[in-house]
Amino acid sequence: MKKVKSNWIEEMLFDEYHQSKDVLASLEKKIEEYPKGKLGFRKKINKKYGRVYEYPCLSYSKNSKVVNQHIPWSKFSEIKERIRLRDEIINQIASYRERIQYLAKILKKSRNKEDLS
Amino acid sequence: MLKSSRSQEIRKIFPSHIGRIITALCYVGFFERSVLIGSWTMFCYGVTLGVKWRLHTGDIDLAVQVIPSGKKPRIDLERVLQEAGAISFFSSSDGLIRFSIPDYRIEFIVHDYKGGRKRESEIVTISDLNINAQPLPFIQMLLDFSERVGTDDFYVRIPIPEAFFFHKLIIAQRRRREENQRKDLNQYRALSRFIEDEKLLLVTKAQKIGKETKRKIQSSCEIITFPYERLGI
Repeated sequence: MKKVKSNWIEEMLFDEYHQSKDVLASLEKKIEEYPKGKLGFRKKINKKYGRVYEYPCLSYSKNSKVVNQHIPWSKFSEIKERIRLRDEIINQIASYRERIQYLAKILKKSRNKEDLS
Repeated sequence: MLKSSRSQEIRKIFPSHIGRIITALCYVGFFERSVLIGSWTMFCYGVTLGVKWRLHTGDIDLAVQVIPSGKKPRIDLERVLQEAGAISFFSSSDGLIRFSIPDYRIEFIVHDYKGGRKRESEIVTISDLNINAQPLPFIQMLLDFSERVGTDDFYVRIPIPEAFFFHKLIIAQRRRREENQRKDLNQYRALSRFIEDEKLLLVTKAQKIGKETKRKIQSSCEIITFPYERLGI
């Protein structure tokens, strides 16, 4: 199929499309450095002394099983901050995916499939 | 000096999440010396001069003034930007650390003192700001001839239109990508009628321009039908 001749605005959008894809790839790589899962609390009852011990834990799934990883209180705020940053990255990844989809929709009228791969 | 109502308008041209980043940069004094360049500058000229411009890319380019050692205040820009909601990421294609905010990318640029002989892949580390930057030629004129626009708590430093215009005349012919060449062409065409000769001469006379660059400038002038003689070079 013969595609329409591109103009400079379309070239800019095409450039933006590729740059967004690069950022998406970088953010997807970056997110691997951050902890997986959700931060929560667990309770353990010490029957002998009749006390309840509460501790923070990181819950995530590994090999189809839920793992509750104990987090020492000393590392709690650091991990909490890292999870906040991870969620921020997730939001941005979603935003870039949406943008790429939107640009691809505009560009596919004038570009070949291979250009948008 | 801008009228107060116009100063307020500078804030309005930026989406709120970019506004947060600029506020954070103002707070640490980044724009006391460093400059916002690229397509966002045209929106600022829209406020200060009335230039009509609608297009911008997803890039927010910031030219960094490198201060001689011994006079440097240490600012952890990576931390400042992260606290304002930006995420740093490493671009494996060019080795640059960029910052991402939804739909936009922030990158830092420094003047290339080697006059473009340095390969683009040679990224400059600015340890005092905890960032790295891409060296590009002719950036110094944008830093040297700049003005502050906005209010006390929200301002940016941008190149004066004459410096931005002259810079575009030089770099348009150096652009390898055709779309960038045309974008530059459109930018300086829109800006050319706001140029003041006296300021333009101040900018051009301060530059060391080689024969080859002069030829390129002449060619740019012909394309936009701007009299080359007005440059005084």
